[in-house]
Amino acid sequence: MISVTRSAIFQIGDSVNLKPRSLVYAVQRGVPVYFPYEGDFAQQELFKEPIPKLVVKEDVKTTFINENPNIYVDSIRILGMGGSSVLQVGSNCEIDTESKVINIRQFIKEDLESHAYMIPTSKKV
Amino acid sequence: MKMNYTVVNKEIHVGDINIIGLTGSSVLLVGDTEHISSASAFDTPPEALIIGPLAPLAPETPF
Repeated sequence: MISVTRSAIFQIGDSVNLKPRSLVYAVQRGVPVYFPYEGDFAQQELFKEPIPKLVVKEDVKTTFINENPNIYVDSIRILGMGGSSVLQVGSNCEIDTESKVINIRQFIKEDLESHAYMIPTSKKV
Repeated sequence: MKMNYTVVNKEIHVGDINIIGLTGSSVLLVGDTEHISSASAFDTPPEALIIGPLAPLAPETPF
């Protein structure tokens, strides 16, 4: 495992409840330009509406019999974990993960030298 | 309609797992669980692709 980013969970052992959440609002620009005070989660529709949850209505009674409670793992190789992903070696009762991503891409058609690719930003009052 | 579901754990032995990336809201579980609900949303709003002068995203509105 090289990198565990955002709200990823790398757990060895048991747990009861895991609820990682990850909200990403990313902008990729043709030229690395950084504006202050930009981006607002509240204005994006995706972040406002909740993702509908499935209601478990099946009447299932699960019983676990652990004759051998040990878990043997030789090797797990993962380059990276991101978003709200979960890697668990062990048991748990409930995992509820949610990840929302918005990617904005801004390209420029003016050539770089003319520096006409910038809109004069209004001063933040 | 009731359902009884019995899990008998004898021996779990994982040899080798190779994964390049575990992203979004995915789960890799070696063990038992009762309930997993994983949701992931990816949105491309109309302004997702803009070709032209670079403009800052809408700033936070103070409320």
